[in-house]
Amino acid sequence: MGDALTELDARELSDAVRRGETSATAIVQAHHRAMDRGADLHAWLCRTDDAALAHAARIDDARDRGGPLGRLAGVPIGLKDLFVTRGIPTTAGSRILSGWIPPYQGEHARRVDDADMVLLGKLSLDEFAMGSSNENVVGEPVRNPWARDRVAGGSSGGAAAAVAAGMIPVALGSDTGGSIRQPAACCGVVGLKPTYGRVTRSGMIAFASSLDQAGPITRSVRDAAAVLEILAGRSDGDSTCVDAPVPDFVAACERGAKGLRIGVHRRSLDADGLDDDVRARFLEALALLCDRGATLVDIELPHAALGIATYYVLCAAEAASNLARYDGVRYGARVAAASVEASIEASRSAGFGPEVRRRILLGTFVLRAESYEAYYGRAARVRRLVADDHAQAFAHCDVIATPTAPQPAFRLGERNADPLAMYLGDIFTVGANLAGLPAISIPCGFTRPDRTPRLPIGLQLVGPAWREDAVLAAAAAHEDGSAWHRERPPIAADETSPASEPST
Amino acid sequence: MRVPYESVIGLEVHCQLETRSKLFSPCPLEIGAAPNTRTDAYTWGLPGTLPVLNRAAVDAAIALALATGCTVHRRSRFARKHYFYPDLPKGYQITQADEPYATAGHVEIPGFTTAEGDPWRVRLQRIHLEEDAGKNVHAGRRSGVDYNRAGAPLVEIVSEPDLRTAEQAAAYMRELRTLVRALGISQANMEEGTLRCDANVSLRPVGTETLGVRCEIKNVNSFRFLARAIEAEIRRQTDMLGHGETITRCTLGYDHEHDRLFVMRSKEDAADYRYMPDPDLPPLHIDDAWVDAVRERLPELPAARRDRWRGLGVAADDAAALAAERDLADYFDGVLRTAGESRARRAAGWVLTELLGRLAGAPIAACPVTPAMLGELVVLVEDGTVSGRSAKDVLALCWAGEGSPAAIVEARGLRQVSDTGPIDALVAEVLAEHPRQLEALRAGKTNLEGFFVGQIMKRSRGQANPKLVAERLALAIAAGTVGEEGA
Amino acid sequence: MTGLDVDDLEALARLARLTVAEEDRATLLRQLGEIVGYLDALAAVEVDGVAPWEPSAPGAAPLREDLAAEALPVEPVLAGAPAAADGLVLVPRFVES
Repeated sequence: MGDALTELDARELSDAVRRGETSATAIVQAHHRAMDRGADLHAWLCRTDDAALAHAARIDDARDRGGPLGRLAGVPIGLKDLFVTRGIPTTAGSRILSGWIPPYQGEHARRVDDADMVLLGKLSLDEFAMGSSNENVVGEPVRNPWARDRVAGGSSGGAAAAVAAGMIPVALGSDTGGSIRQPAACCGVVGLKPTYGRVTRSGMIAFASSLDQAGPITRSVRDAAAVLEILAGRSDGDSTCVDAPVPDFVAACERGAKGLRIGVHRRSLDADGLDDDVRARFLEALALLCDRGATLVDIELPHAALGIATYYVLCAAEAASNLARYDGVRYGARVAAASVEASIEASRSAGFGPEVRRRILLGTFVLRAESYEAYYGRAARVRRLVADDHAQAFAHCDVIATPTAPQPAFRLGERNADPLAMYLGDIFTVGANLAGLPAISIPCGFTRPDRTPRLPIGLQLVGPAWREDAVLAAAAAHEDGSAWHRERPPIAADETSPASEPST
Repeated sequence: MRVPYESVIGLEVHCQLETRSKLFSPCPLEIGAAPNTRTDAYTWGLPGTLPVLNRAAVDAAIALALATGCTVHRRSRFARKHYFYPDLPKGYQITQADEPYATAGHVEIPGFTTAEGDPWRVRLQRIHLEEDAGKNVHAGRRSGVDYNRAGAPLVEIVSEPDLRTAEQAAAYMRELRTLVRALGISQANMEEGTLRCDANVSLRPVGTETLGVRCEIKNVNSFRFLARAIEAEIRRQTDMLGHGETITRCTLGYDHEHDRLFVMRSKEDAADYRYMPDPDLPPLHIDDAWVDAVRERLPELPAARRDRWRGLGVAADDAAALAAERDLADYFDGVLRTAGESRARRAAGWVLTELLGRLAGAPIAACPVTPAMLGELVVLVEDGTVSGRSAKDVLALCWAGEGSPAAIVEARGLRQVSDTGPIDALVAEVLAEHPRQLEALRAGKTNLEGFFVGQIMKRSRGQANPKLVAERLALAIAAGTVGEEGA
Repeated sequence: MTGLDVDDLEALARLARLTVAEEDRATLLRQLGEIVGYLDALAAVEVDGVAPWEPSAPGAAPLREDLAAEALPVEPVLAGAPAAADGLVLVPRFVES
């Protein structure tokens, strides 16, 4: 094996473990070193090194005895700290959950464990997944591995940065309005948001229940497909999760682009604030897919411009509701006070950061009896129109292509004083959440050479409901015709050759 | 001159459904368990947990809707009602708001009729499903919370303001309790909190239709206190109106120790619950097949039972008493199966007087006498095989486990004597032994007949048929020769 | 409606059980005002006769059978509570309302 273990993707790693070419222990150790080297990215909130090594040893032992191995045995994984892990602190990036050790295992953690993936720790996020820059944090904001003065995107910023920096080949993120896809684009990796209901939400801390979906962040489309197969399927703990057989998503990646009809909403490309490089790389990506047999179809999405307003009404309302349980009574951080009422208010005021407080107030506003119909009621109806727009567009195309974000990663601190400007960055991603559709962001190039720093740019592909296969097929066709996904930020190089590593 | 007012009362009744697990999670449910030993991650409101609806709770809710003549909606949905309180784990309660599963039913209250003599009918506005909160426990300077009850399945039954008196309100509550127990869907125990009630009370001048300003009495925990609290509120509002004061909307608590109401909340701090559809729960679809399946399993309802028994000659009060508890009603029907429906009236008396008297408040399940045994005894009494007096002894022996009534009668020789021969012999004996009394009787002191009957019965050890004894005695006295013959 | 005033902000904060510090008030009002102003774009959309969106997961099992699982052991759960004694979660004494 010539490549460093941190260069391999998930399926290559588990194949190597299965064949005895390397051990889970060696893989975990290599990734631990990458985590050490990239500590200045602040991607991790919690590392579980000892447990990971013990787990790796069990996998190696099972392999040596010829015992059964899980689907992605020995593959390191990190979970956004929104996923509940029994016995391991789970904070949602919030002070209000500081000190909480879950007494139950979340379903995502259980499923990756069943696949014999090795948990290396919990990844940083914007508090309760609210944000697009991973700056809404208790400690340090996550830095972009391609440029330390840039954001990693959010809210799954820690996950995208860690995958980009070679600390893990796979992370689980959550996507409510773009929180998997936008950081994936900012960090030059693959991020997949499945159809709403494809993956359980049981064991994932809720931000906005009707929009949240868990999904993988990886360095290759086929890895994303493999991890989706592990995550997807019936769940006893979630009434909104589909009970249907899980398709062979990895096989779908081999379909190619021949005959693929790609819908393009031209009007959205004229919007103010769309970066020239983002537009140029997007058009190049379309050209690449056309070279491989795809055709372009112009589509209309008449309510696309209302997406952000609709999204922020709904997500704020649901967030205000979902975060009502954090009162410092049963778990988490409590601020003592003379009365229980005062204690609840003090705990919440001290426990939530500014953006979370802002959204709770906004959500409370749109749910108030006197404004409910004008805001929440109306947004729920406009959401139907947005979903209908997409359904109509898919009568003429197989996938819809857009840039993932209007701009490459912006500077840390740049948008902190202007929440609305931050929200407007979600323009291309919220549609898939509102309509409940599967969508992927894949690397499609970088800013032009005369711009510094050199920053990755993402292509988004959105599919019809339950058609992750179509999204993955198109994304894999692009990946097969390009090398962008092989680009690594400087940090990822592992000086230690795996061949010379002692296996301890 | 004082305007006469009438009180207008509507009740919101919460009833805990008896299921194995909670409404939205597979958490075990048990009343009276040690604090916080019946919780799970969902009950606790832990992050990452989601609700999944319990089918059995919906079954029970449909049964109640059918039993009260409600329309069961094919589609209903759950909403979140937000408020902060230590016993509310998620900061919201999952309930049904604008789309309840059942609307527009009615309940008839036994013992109350309209001026026209029709049964008093209380219309139900709606019934909906919701989850319960935990329980706050106060001691010393601190309060504690027990979440065992949090997430328990409740139905809330909302009546129209069709009740006019405190007694009616209490009777309505009793009827609801009878009904849900008959359906087997709830223990409906007010003291244990599995049946709870809030009462809305307003006054209006007699003869008017417009509703007055209402006040809500919260959480009364017995039928007696419910009636007293409503009476107290009617007095309070009557006094206020009598003094020319205006009633303002408020929420009241009832202090049963001092029989007085206290204001908990006034209208100014009316809550904004920020209702929203619960995004974690898809709409609840109840199709006709589901409703039909529940309908097929419905037991005979208390009102139908009462009507049937009254048709067999059972007095109205007796029928109501027998139907009040499902176990008792089932027992009585068991007695009828052996005794036969023609003996329903006497059977009712035996169950209500002799059996319940012996049980002295214990549940019918504890009764060692089976319905078949009691039915057999009723037959023995009705056909004259045993006397009423002996029958009580037979019941006692049966209770003590001596066997079936027929077997006891045979074994102990308690068969009632209905042959004239032995009875005439006893009549002769007794008359001969009491010549002075016989003289007096013949002289017109007819009340001495009872004395002689008693003496004869005593001598027969209760086994002589008293009717026959009286007949033979009268004949003997009239003949005037009995004494000489027997001497 | 657009424009939130201080009273609105106070009312929202009270409902949400959040304290808005005096020094944060002006900034928060401005930010929320801008956001709400942006959201007002929804008022222009024709939504008469449009049903609210609802998730539809084909084959999703929204109901479960009435089976009780094991309860959580009380000790570890209470160990995570900020204050507990005698099996109860403790809070400062309060009057029921």
